[in-house]
Amino acid sequence: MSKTVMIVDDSGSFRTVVKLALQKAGYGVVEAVDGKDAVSKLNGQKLNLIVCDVNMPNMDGLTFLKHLKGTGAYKFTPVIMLTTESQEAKKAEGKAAGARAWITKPFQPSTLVDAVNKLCV
Amino acid sequence: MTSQTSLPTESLPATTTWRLRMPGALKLGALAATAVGCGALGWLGSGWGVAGAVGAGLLVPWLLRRDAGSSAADQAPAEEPRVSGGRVGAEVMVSQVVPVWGKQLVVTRDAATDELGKMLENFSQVSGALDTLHQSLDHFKPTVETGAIDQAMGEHDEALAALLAPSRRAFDQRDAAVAELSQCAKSLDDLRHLGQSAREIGKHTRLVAFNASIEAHRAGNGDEAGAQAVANETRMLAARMGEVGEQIDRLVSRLDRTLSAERLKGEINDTTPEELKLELELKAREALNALLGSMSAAMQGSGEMKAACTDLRNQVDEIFVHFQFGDRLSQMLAIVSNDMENFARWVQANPYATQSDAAEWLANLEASYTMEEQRSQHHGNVHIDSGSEIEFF
Repeated sequence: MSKTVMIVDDSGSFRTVVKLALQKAGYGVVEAVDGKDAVSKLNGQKLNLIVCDVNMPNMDGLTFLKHLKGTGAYKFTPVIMLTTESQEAKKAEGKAAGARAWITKPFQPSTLVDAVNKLCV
Repeated sequence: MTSQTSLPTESLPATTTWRLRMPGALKLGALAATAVGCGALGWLGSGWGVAGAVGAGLLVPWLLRRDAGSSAADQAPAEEPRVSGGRVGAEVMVSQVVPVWGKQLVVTRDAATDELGKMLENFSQVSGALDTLHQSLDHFKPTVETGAIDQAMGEHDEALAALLAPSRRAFDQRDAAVAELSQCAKSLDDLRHLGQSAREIGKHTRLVAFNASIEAHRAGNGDEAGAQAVANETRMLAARMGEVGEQIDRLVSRLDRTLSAERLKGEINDTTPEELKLELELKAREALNALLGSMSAAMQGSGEMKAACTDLRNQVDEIFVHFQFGDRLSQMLAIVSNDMENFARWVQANPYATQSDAAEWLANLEASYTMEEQRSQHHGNVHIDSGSEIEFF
């Protein structure tokens, strides 16, 4: 059974690019358009990893990350932040909130897949 | 992507004593929109950059011309702004013009997003098709290594045996025919002996007839005429018997020559089933060798196709990276649109801006940036894209 990765990004294009790269690598994919949508789609389902943007409407990525780490079922689910944001302060905030990696856009699909392969539980 | 304000640095004259009058604010807004929009276009590459430059070339001189026309008034003692219906004139302009620009940006962004999505979908299908083709080519691996023919012969031994079966039957029939011919030759020998017997009987009969004739003359009892006739008849029968014997002998000799030649032919062409199998295997090897040669050529072709397929996949992956820049344009247009709305609202709420207001705007603007390019360009620096970066925690 393939591992499942959730993609949280308000950009449809980014979600498509990420989805293509991960599906090609054999992962199943669940999509969410922002942090709020992602929370609604957790539903206790098994997620092996989450790829999350930072700047999104309704609920940004860091808020979602903090919410996720406060939820027992997903406390240990690895999260990769995939964002245009490159401020060290933001990275530090992400790291403190429990993110496992920070990838800046634009990204090479192979870079993302390597990171997912490394962190996916 | 969210943002609060938008007010590029280059649109703010640093030496101006700030008491921003509304016509100046209007121009400021126009310059802000022009500069940010053109900057966003410039991120997408040379083509978009040219478009941005053309836009800037058209709009900025027009805006500056208006500034030059009013510079004398700017340096004159501050005049009271024109008021229309209780609202400052520029406030009216900003409230009506900026939303139009905002709508244009929104429409452009939506159209760009839609088209990017469609293109991305198409390229996704191309990528999927390339993956399928690549996998098919991966599975196309005919064996042409050393020993491949022996392996193929071993695997298809039953087929070869089936191929041999009709030939085996033909050889069995040939052997049966040769056996029959041998039997015929034996019968001919028997017949030859019979012919010889007939000739000998003829000789003896002639001798008997001759003796009978002598005995008839010696007796002289008047019956010699009758005895002579019998002797003559007997002589004729003996002669006839001798002729029959000779005819049989000639016929047997002729048949024997014919049969011996056919038997010789059969013996010369005689091939054992084992020899036939070896011959067939040799021919099968030649055929397989030719077939594998063709397959090898096909493999070489498929290898080239696979290399082209891999190259195309890499190109499509690069396209996916470029699509992300298109997405940035869409995001920047959203930011500009949002900032313009904020700016229009702010101008309406604050018809008299001060330099500290501008500084606050700039600070808020910088704080809202999410990309390193934005921060670099905010300070007039050229950003060098370092590509994708990953940092593990």
